[in-house]
Amino acid sequence: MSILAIGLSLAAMLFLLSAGLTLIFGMLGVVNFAHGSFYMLGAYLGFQLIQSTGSFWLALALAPLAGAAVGTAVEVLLLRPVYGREHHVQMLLTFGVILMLEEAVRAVWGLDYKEVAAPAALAVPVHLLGATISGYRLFLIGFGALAAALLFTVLERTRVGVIVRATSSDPEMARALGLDVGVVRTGVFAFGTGLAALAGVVTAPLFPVELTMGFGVIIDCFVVVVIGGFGSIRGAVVASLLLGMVRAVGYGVAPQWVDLLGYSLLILVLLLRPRGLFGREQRLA
Amino acid sequence: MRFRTMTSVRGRVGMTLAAALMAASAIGRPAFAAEPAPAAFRIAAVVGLSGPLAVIGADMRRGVELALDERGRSINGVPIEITWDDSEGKPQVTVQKAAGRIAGGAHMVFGEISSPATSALSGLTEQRGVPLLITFAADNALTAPGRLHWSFRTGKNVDATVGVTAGFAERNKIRRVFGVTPDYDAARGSWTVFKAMAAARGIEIVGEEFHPTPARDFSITLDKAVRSGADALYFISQGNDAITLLKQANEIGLKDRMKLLAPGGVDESVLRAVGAAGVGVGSSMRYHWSEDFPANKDFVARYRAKYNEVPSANAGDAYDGMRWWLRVVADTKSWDKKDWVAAMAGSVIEDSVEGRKVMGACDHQARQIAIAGVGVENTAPDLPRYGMVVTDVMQPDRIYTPCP
Repeated sequence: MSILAIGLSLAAMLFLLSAGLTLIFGMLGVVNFAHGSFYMLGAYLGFQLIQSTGSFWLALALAPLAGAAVGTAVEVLLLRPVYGREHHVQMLLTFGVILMLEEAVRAVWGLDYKEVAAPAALAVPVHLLGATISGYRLFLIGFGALAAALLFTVLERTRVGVIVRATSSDPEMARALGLDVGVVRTGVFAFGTGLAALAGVVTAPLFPVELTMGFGVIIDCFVVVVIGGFGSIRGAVVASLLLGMVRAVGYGVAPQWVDLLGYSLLILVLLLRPRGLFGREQRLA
Repeated sequence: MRFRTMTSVRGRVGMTLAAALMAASAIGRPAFAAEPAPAAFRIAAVVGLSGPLAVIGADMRRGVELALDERGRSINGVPIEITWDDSEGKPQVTVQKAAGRIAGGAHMVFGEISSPATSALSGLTEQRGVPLLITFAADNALTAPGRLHWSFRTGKNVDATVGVTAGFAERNKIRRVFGVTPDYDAARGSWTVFKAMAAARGIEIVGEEFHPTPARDFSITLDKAVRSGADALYFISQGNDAITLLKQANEIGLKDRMKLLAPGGVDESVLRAVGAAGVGVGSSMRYHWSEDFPANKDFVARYRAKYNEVPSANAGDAYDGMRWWLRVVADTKSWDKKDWVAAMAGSVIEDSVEGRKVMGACDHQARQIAIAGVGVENTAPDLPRYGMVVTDVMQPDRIYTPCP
């Protein structure tokens, strides 16, 4: 049972990490290699806000907004001119954004590790299902579930979701209907990068906050997104649960093989369903 | 006979003239052996300056630069030029960059950080006949007797870091240990060394886990440690992995249930990342700014004046190694690399920042004290909020096998 509890917490983290990447690809068709850098930026912004305000919760609220603001600038200044170009141009561009963000963070905060601790109220051990798990991890499980439900509801059940989906599936038609496609795209990219920054803040109490923290994360994100199907929030939820549980079992049985188990799951899914579990037939944008 | 006498007289005059000319020409510059003085003494430093090793590499750079400053950035009248290349922590990149510098005329190489990259680097320098100074990589195999001719390790090896940690465990009456080890050769070797030392001290190993590195999560592993009934968690994980482990151990209040021990995994930079989660954690250290030696007090004062903080273990270690090496090179008054290597093997530095150090002639490993300590919260305003204090010192004769 301890594996179940810890697996759920790993799944929640994986979903929070990959949601923004999935959203941006699903709605814009852009493979955002800089997702990990926005995650790193979010953690540093969170650190700075905690230092300035003393409040983790305020940092959790504000850092994603700052991350979204940076995302807006990147979309307007860099991405917008290349939407019509091939995928590799966008990938190269987002790779350049990685270098820019890393240098900017290095210049502002230096090379040293930064300390971000969980709020005192949540930094307590909880005995659940036979496992010792922290209160903060339980919060993460709830937070991840809430984020998934909100994202799904907004995209599938609200007028905003209809506009975003319409813009993504047929931008010309959406434009003809009077929608400002540029604004919608900017909003989606900003929201996706804000989600990455949110993941950076919310996972900072569990992992090192340092310049390269985004590199390992981006691999996990792509594994989730590929297993779930590019662009599918539902797929990201299911893939996060699958990968989280596989990892939890792996850590329990043979920790040195845990990466191999995760990648084996990826290969298995690709062999059986090359577009991922919830992937669509063709690219949307 | 007469002819011989004449020749002899002429010869004596000739020899006297030649000697006078040589003496005259030698005035104003050192009388060095065969090799002519170079335009510059070139040091090729190859360390990780990006990625997870960047913090370590940057600190090592600070220490080395201060050692060069101390000599006026020259050696026997020849200016010292140092180049810093980013190894990215990868063996192939390390070798590629060092090879380029050696081809460009480097007189010595300094680096790397990780044991695999340092091993690859020592292979290159041994082949090219260029001295290599190692201060960080600790793998015992690097300085196996007879393995190295051109390379020297002035820093501590695994025997030192593990030995003092085992001593720390014994002094703290730890009886049951759960081990967490990164799954690579050098770390597994270090764990094997600890198990042997623990057995000799009557400490039982109640469980062990090997994790991939970088490690993504330790929650299951820590849960296993709790269930094992261990009274100490011994983790060899370094850098980011050590930080992840300490943060996640703190989440579940592991310090309240067992002692946390690391052979070198915890220092000021790690404490900066984990804060209160590192308080009370025991770890061996490469060096500590508080060590009570005159040379160390002088070094710390100059370091603080230049960088406005106390030196890290990596800075102190790098400073001390480079200072020792440059002093030996200067004392040879030679520009022949073979002379430097011969002088370094078996050399002694009485006034290192950690007292007396002796370079083993058989293995090129420096004999020195080993230290361990615990993480504390500092109250002094001029110190970082969290730091280490030295609690245990182990003398070299308890660590190293003497050279025959």
